[in-house]
Amino acid sequence: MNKIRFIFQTIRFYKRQHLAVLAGIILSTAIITGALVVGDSIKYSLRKITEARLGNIQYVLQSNDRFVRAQLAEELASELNVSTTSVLLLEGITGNPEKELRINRSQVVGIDSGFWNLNGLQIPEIGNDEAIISKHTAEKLNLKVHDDIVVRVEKISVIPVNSPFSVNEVPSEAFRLKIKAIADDDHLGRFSLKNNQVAPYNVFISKSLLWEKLDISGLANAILISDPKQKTPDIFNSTFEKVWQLKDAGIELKKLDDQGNYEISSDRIFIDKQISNAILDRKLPVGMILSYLVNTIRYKSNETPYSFVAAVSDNFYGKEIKEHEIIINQWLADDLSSAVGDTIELEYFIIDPLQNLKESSSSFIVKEIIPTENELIDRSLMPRFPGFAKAVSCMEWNSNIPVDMNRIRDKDEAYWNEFRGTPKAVISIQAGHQLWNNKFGDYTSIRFNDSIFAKAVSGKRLDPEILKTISPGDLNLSIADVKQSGIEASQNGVDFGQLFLALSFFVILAGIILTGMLYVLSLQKRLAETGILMSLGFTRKDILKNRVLENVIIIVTGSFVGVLVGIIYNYGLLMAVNSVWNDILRTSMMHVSIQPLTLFTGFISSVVLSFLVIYFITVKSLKQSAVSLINTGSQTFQTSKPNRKNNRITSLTGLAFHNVFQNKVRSLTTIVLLALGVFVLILTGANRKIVAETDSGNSSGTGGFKLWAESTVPFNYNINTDEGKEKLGLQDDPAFEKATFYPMLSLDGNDASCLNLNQVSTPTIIGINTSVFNERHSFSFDQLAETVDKMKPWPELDKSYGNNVIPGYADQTVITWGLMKSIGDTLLYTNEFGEELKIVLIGGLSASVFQGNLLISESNFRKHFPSINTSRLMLIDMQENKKSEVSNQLSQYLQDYGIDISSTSERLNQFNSVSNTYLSVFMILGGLGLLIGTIGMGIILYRNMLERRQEIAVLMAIGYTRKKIRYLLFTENVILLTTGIVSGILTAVMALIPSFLAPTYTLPESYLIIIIAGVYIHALCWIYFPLRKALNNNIINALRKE
Amino acid sequence: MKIVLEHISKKYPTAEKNVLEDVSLTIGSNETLAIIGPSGCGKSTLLNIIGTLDKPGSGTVSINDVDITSLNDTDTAAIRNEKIGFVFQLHHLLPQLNLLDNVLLPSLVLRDKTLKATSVSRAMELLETVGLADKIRQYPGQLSVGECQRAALVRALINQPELILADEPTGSLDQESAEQVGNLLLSIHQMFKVSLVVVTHAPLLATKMNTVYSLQNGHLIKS
Repeated sequence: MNKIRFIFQTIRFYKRQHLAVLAGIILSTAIITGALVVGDSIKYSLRKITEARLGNIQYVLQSNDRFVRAQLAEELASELNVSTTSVLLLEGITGNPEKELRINRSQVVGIDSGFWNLNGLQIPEIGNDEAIISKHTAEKLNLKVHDDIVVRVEKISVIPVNSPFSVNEVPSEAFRLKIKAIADDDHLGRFSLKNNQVAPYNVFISKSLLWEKLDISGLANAILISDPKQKTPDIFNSTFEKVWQLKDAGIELKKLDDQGNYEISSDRIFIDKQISNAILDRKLPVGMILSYLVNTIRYKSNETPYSFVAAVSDNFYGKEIKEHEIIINQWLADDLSSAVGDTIELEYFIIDPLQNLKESSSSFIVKEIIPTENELIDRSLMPRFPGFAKAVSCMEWNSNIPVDMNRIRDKDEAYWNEFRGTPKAVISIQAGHQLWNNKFGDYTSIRFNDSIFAKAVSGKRLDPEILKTISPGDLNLSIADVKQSGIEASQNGVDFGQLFLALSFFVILAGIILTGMLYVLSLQKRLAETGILMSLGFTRKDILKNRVLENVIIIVTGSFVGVLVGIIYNYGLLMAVNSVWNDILRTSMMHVSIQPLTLFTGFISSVVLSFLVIYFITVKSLKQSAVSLINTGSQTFQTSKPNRKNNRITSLTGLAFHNVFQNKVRSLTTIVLLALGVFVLILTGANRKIVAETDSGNSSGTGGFKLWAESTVPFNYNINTDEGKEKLGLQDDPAFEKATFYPMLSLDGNDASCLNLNQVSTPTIIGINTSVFNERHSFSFDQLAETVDKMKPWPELDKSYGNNVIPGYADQTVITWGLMKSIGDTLLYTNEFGEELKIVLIGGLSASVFQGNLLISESNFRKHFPSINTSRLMLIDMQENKKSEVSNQLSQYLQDYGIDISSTSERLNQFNSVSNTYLSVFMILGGLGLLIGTIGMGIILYRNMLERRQEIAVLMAIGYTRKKIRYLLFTENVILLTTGIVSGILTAVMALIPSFLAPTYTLPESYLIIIIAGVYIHALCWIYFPLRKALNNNIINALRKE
Repeated sequence: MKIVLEHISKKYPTAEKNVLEDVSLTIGSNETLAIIGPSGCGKSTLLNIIGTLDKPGSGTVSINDVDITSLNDTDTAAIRNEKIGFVFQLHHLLPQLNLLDNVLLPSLVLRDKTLKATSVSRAMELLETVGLADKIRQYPGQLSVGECQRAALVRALINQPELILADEPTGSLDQESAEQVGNLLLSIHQMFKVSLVVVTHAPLLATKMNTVYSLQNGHLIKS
């Protein structure tokens, strides 16, 4: 006989009790390990998705709304000895022409064979009439190889849409192509530069097709770089700065004559302010010109329509022009019958900050009349406005500025025919800035003479000096490490391991309580043994050591098996994620990843927890004296403390209550287990968000708006005006008469909503009209910074907090979970001018339709992103009964814009469905905890019945019928059940008080009543059936013992 | 071995009065002593105090002039293991161990290595003495109550104690078994020169002891 033998003999003898404890440990361990492995699996899967969407691409130069030379890719490749390819990234609308299926917001990628080569894929070149689509696109559109696909893309241009004098054109271009192949995930079917696990709907088409159709030959808006040696971004950017050319900055150099005169102009019409400011700052010897089309030049009753006027710097003209002076050519002088000294008026359109055309006028005094044919003031001063440059006659003019062709006279046509866009008048550059200064630029051309320039600037020319003066970063051009940032984003999103651990907390707690309870029950059978060992000279320490050693085997075995069960549990969880969430997260790419360290963590956590539970229970059990232990263990009746109050028991129900209070530990354990489970079920059920169609109040998450519209091709007309409606073809439809449209500007970023599992640092920015929201008191806030007026929060967004520091709002859940930030934190962006823009989070919205986006004011948006002047997003309001009609009609009229319209409540429900899914998981796990509680209650009850057989036998002997005994025992347990459920309900209600006080909260009463009723009935079953079994046993034998 | 109890009193929290009132007792070497009295009078309490299983409310208990009421758990456990052997009314053999292992249980924590080394041979001798040598592999569930009680007696003797405390050792036995156990107790006293204190209702057993005490209203009265 030795200690080991003693322990093993004991384990063998009490194996049933040990198995029960083992089961409890396995359960807790499985839940802990499963949760941790889920976290690893999701991180692993997101990383895999990042690698699938980027392939071999490590770095990217994205020029956003600009274009660079496609040739730049080869230059970078040559300098850095890396692989590159240039692409065109566009948004488009794709459709199956045979089945009327379409996808708005597809990603159209203009490529050549270099794209596949970069990624080591052997895929043949795509012809101009072909396309390769991703597997997701094929499934969505029900397409296969050799089918036709229609692709419509925004007609992008180097010229910003809505810059003055850009072309008033059809906004999109469509192609019908044959599907050559379908690219799965291994063939870059998931290609995307956005940090999102959602698979984009990709269509790969020929870059040369896009060059031809969009008139952007030789240009690209992204250069993809593969560098296995992984140089740093700094090396790439410094090399970029070395090889870039004026064309990459949107600048063109043109030789004007043989006298060394050159002109620098922008393919964006207006020269970027960064460039012109840099030139002016260096005080370089150049002439600055701003040319503009004026509607009318008037002298008394005479007027000349639609003429170009040039505002020039003195050093261009060669002499000073004062701000109130104007120089006119002879043709104009004759047409107006004006002379030197006369005051003539210029009338012109300007585009105000709200993109509205406003006619304005200014007067000038004629200083000089110059010949119409003039070496200095010639046709070359007219910028290459695309709507004018190729026009043969005035009738062919095409511009976003309205031109009344009825005003064009024959002599105007003749002037155009002979002199084209030769300015009829010249004013000072200062005057021109005052009148025609716009956010796109201050000048339309810069002229210099190379010999004069070289004398002034040590033998240099202007063009290379410009490239030295500005850097690509000034124009928001830089090469970024997308692979590294993508992987970081995938690994730093919400930690699902911790999340599931938290969601599983109650189950784990229930498992631990059950383990403890089962262990206590097993110890109770061995009380006498404990006392005897003490009487034989075993110290408490000896006994504790033995018990611990006995259970170490159980703990280690249970934890090990629990880890294995946890892996299976994790497979089940991920299966659920891949199926239940597939439609929302649009990925079924969640794969299991088993990390040994994680398994070890789960194992050790369980071992420690189980050890602590068993240790402390054992220590507590040893606190009694040996005598007490021996006597208690010897007793044939249930242990009970005396009734101190000595109250008489006068009924069976009273006896039931008495029995419940006698064994406080058991009763409390049962009540706590039940209460925990009910608490979790109610809390999660009560927080499920279902936005009813009637939840449309202004303060709700819909803001009181009825529809949310998103388009692929932006609207460049104000849809609220008659003119805008007419341009969009909506003018005759009465459905739109009472509808109000609220367009919003947006800068594309990463989706920060709950639909994106990756960490996001730069969500999409939306510029909103704060006065509209303020008047309507739209939306509500979970949190606002101290400095914000709680009654009028929206005007705060119009403020500026300093140089390039502005305020912003986002959904509170996005701030906390998507961005991992708090109120007062700052998000960093780069504005259009290459400057750092800090957006301070000053408020968190209650769940709204804006989830995933960052809101700033429209004024701040236009200030920092002036070239984005058109809207892809709109909120629409109308009478409730007109909603369907407006939605249907709008979808029909604007289908070429790729418009998606959803009701705002539907949109909110989509977001809510993800949070509801989390709550459902929590609820399921809570339900599991409750199940454990009811099973535990059943076990206690059955065990209790077995121990009380003798008591029951005595009761029968003294005349109690089985029915009365059944009633007594049933009542005891119903008291425990009811107390547990009521406790759970009360604690849940207390926890929900803040929700009750929230204005938008709605309690789902029916749902909760059904849940609680279900729990109660389930628990009653766990009382009834064990009771029946216990009472059916032979009582006579028990009586004999008594 | 000499055990001296001086002015021992003991009151249970739920009782109205002391169960033991100013009890003094001296137990010398090789003595036999019976304590009798009605049910619930405190006989077992007194026995438990003598055997260090319980502590008095007031008074002192000394063993070989050492005040045991001031000793810690480890020291009192050592006393119980080495000096005292208990026999209870219910044998309290551990069901998971066979007869031999049950008997050897006290030797697991014996500090005297020499004595520990000879435990098995000693156990076999004692089991031979009580007529259980052929049942060493059997478990308590396979033995009669009388056989279990005899085994409990052997367990109490395994570490060669100087005192045996028996609390109603024959209380659960039939007449024949009771007589057998009673005689065994006396034989063991004679063979091993151990002092014997027996709490009993059985007059026959009580009269076989050298001294009989009666516990009445908490007071110990020598009969």
